[in-house]
Amino acid sequence: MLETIVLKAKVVNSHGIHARPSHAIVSAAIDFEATIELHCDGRVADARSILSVMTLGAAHGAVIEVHASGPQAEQAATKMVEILCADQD
Amino acid sequence: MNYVDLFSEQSILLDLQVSDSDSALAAMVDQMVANNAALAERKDELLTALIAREAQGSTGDAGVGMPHVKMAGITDVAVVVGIHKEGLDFAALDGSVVNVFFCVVRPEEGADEHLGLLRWLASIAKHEDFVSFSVQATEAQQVIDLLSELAAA
Repeated sequence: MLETIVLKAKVVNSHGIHARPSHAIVSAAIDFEATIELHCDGRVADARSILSVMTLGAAHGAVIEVHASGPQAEQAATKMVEILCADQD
Repeated sequence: MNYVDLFSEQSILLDLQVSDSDSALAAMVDQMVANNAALAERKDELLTALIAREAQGSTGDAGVGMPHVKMAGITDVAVVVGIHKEGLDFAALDGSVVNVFFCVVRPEEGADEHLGLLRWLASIAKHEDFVSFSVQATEAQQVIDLLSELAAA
């Protein structure tokens, strides 16, 4: 069974994860072969899909768990956290 | 807020007859300002902002695009749905063409409300039947009914 890397990040963007940060997340996620899920408040999103990421509706200060498994899972999860912790507004 | 109430028959363009995404945005802006006096004088500004916003990163995914901007000086959210039967290149990261556009203009204030609207639209848009049902619609009310139905699903 593949090991799943789980990292947590708090959304820094003042306007939350709206479309532009979602685009940044997906742009980075598609560069990895790892399966990457974002968990927030009971919802789960595929980090490769903008629509999916936007359904999280993650506001400023929300805590997102990044679950990554497969090739380069650790690098993928770390990259996601880096983006979530960057203010892009 | 019931987001379905943002949509009326006048806010649905059932059959966009354009061949590129900028023309699609222009057609949706035309429709939006025709029903919105507050935006009518700012039509060019609105279109320029939408094109610039998309250039920063496409909102296209899985056949749906959500071009949206915020504008100072407006008080209400305005939405137009544009449907293109064949689909247009919208530089979507997943490589799909876009058949259904939600064009949204919102006030500068109300970031949380906006996030709620995007989340609502995205939840509907990623339903497996949304795009195929939308392109088959022959009346605007059918699209509004579809939004209501999928919102409740």
